[in-house]
Amino acid sequence: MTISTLDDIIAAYTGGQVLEGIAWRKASTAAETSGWPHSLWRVGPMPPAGGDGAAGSGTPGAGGTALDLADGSLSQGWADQSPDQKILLDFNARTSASCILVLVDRLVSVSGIALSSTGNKNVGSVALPRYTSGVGVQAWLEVTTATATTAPVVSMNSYTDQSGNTGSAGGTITFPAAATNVDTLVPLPFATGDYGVRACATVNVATAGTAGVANFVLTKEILRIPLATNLGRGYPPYIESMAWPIIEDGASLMLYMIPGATLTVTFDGGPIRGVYG
Amino acid sequence: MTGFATLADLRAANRLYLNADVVGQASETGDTWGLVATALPTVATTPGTVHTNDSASTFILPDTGSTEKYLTEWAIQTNSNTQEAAYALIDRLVSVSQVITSTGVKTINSSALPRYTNGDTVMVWAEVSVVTATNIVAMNLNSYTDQSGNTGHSGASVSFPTIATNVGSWIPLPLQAGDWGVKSVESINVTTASGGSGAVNIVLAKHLDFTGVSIAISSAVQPTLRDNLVPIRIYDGACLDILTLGYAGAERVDTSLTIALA
Repeated sequence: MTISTLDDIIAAYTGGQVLEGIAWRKASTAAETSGWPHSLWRVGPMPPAGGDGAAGSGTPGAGGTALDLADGSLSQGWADQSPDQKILLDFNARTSASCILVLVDRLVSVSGIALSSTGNKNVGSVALPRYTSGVGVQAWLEVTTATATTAPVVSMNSYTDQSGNTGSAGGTITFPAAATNVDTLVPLPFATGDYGVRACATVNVATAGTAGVANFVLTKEILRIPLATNLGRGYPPYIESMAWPIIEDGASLMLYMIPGATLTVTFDGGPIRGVYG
Repeated sequence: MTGFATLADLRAANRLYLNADVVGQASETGDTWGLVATALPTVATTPGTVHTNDSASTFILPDTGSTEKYLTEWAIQTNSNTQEAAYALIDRLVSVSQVITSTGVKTINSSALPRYTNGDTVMVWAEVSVVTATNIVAMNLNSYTDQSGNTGHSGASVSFPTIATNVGSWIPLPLQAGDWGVKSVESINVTTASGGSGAVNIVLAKHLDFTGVSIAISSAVQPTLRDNLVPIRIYDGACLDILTLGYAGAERVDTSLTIALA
């Protein structure tokens, strides 16, 4: 059945066209500071931590790993359904500290970006496995070894934008602290006018610390929900909500939080549910 | 499978209404799930107890055979809590009692699942049945059969929240990377044992639904209603219980389910 109405959703879901993930729990590492995104990809316990991907390359398209229902994804059990579409219907969570929880599809991960020396760092990210136009795809540095001494200043030195223009260069951003914590997500700015990225050839470290390593990560946002301490909250909040996201085959669903303070947070969530048709 | 052809059919369907007023076990604080039930069920040692229409469950639905049951609403009001809390509705499938006062691999060999027999999204929990002592217990799934029938899988270790973890605490046992369900548990490994006393039920359960309750205002408590866009199938024999997270103590809740019949 093709799903195009609310009736179709009811019929498909109660007719067995069901997608269901496992109930989950994530215990974060220490967030850096209030308002700064913090990744939950590399922590467990359920699902266990995801991987960092292959290292960068000086050859465009040869660096890193394109994720396809990778271990660590919240959508384990959501089998490919092509040509049917998958629609996310139910995502809920509870937090031990107030924050915003963001669900994204982790598309590409390139490990080993050194932040302890200046200069251009090879990324050479592989082609996007989903959202191949790059529209709405965001680029990040995900800290895997804490920085030290000096807050790094970084930028995308050469990337391909959502229109296929190569050699674009984004603005700089300064890490939140000289000793930026592991799992901190640093958003990499675009050039003025851009609104997505297909690939990145190099990242520039204009100011380096004496330590620090990061993954270069490309993601596509699915949804975000504000959470108060301990209060379970679901998405969508109302039956009339029409903002049901499409989840692509191979999606590797990851969470990150935008904390309200510098602390560790534990999240619990029920099964992610959806329907296909 | 019958289901409902339209939203109008779902809304017009005959319904069952079930209510319960329950005083739960003394929950731990913080991030530990606790069973909101007057008492734990009686659970046998390996291969354990298969739960079907258990009288100890918070909700027991009538078996309806070919008529399908779908959860459409779940309301819960806490009469004890003065802070936000989250709640989970679970279907208890199989439990195996195991003493944990010594380290090492413990044979579980859980019985076959009575429902959700493919094991998809069936999780494993350690339900404390005798309060622990002396040490913070640590354990992991040493050998289990995953949702695809692969045997010998193991999960990461988890530590209990405190030395004296209360009866009724539910500690989720992580699965191996890439797995999303369990058909059976063959053994657990206790790497740090409880001293003198301590036992758990290794519970295979299906997590059905999840909701939360707002903070109390003055002396009133606010109920929450989970109006399911996604009608959740409930199978004959279901043993429905509620877990709480975020409240410390023996919580009293009033709760109700609305079940649509297809």
